[in-house]
Amino acid sequence: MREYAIVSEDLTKIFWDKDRKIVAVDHVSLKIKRGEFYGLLGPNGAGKTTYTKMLATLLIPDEGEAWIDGFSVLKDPLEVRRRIGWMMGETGGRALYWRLSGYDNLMFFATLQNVPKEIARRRIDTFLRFLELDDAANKLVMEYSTGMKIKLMLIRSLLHNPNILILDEPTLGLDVESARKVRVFLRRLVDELGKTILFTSHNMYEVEALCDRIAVINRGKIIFEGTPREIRERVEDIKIIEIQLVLPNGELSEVLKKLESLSVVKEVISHSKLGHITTIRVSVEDHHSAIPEIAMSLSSYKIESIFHALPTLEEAFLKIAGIELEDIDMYSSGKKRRAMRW
Amino acid sequence: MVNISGDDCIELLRVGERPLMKESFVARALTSWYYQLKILFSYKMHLALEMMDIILSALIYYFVSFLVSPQDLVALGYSPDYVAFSISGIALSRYIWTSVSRLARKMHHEISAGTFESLAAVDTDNFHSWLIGQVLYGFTWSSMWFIGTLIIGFALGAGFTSDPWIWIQAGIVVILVVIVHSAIGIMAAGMYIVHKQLETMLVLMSTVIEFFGGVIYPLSILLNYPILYYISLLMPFTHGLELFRRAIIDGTPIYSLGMLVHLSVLLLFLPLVYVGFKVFERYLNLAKKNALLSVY
Repeated sequence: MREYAIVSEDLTKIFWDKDRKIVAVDHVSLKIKRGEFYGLLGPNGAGKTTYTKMLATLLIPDEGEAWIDGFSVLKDPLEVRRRIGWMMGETGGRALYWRLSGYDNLMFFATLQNVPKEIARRRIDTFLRFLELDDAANKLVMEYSTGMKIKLMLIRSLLHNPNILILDEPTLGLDVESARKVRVFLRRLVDELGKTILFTSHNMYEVEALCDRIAVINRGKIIFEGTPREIRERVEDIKIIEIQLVLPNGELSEVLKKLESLSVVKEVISHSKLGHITTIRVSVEDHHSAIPEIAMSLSSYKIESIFHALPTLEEAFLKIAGIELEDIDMYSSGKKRRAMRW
Repeated sequence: MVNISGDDCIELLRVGERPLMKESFVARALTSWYYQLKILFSYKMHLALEMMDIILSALIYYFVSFLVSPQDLVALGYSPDYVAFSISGIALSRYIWTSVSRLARKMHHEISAGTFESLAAVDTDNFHSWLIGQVLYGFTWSSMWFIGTLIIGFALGAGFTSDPWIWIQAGIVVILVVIVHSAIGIMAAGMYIVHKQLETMLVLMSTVIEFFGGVIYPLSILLNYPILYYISLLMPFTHGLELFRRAIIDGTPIYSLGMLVHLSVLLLFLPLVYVGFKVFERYLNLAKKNALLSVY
């Protein structure tokens, strides 16, 4: 048990909607090692937040047990809370006092977490400056943007320097530069200070870049656990061909039409352009027969490469979680794409 | 401003690995009190309206006093000064009522604003220090109300005692009443987390205090209705108010024989504070079981 920062055994939470039983978390057993960056993925309503709230002692499980740093969430909730930093996501900053300044919010929570004033002051000043909130420190939180509130909530979870962080979508709502900064910093907390981070996110790029291991949860059950690479390898039946080619302007739609008309191509999944290279990803039945046929049909274009690719984490996740892109366009980069039929 | 890099933050937390932090219950309670007051003072209009409420309430009972005959009050065992009688009742009942209700209202506000979950995530003493901070805050603000009402009473000619020693004794009574009623406030806050019926609960509580406490009429009137009279004796407020009134109007010391009975009964209610915390914890756990921490 000592090598694990977070352990849950058969953790279960049931809600009732009148007479309808909803098993939000269904016998979830996970072991997260100390110093591990662990991602918990799942569509909305899958049970991620309920699971993390049970770990943070904000919900009492109906069955099962969990231990944080060796302390039971049922028997020693006070010890558990001393050891974790918890940040709730998707709240639009509701978890802060809007009529206090950012600085006062942090000082208030630091004191509740028993951080001596001098240490709290130093940490607050440093983190505010690091996340470029120092100019707004004395403004009321009601004047903050969503991104600023999220930064403040992140700082709050770090003030007592916990060894275990439970972060629910910590970069949602941040601008690109701030999100990158936060990602790098969180990774360093794990690599250099040995902290353990349990992290939920809908951003597959982020998950792949940060997490040592991930679990996919759907309808309250863990349906996959492993490294990001393992999840991609797991979905063997997704056969992806990636084509990189140089296209004259205005030719893309013609190329997509050609690809869609091929019987070997099941679906055009995505296309993107970087510099002068256009990359198109298609799903196929059998990549051995598909590659020559695709190459033939595009022979009038300058093909840089065409190869059998592993599915992206996003594609693998969607496959494993059994979701169609149309239903959850938030998983794509904000651009709605056609449904993937697997 | 010098830029801060991730290195500085990492180093700061590395240094912080030394054994942290002697926990201080008092620091946590005072912090909760201080920031709550800060939030209150950000509501300027609310403050102004409450001030107006103090003045108008005192004036209402000043004018009502013209309808009450001094002889009736004397016959019921009080001094003939109805202004002093009603102002002292109003001051103390509002004091207690505002303080008790403020905690339940605060809970409503924390839950609907979404901050209660954040507090629950950092709570290291089953909310005891936070609750004490909130109680202190409630009574700090209500004290302004209380003192304001008494001053207006003085200005309207209420015949309060001028003996400072009696006022010190009255102060002790107020503190006892405050402690006992904070337990009720804490229980009410706990009940709110689960039952969410804020307004119903508050109306019930204020009615009970005003009706059974003898705020605007002498309790001896209830002797004609023995059941109501005996119920009123079960209320800590009844005894607190009787002690307070007899002290500041008649100048009766709280250690005199008739007063000691009320004082003893009031002291008997002190263990309610422990019960209040336990009830709150029970409701908090119930809320965590039923996912009610952020439901309002």
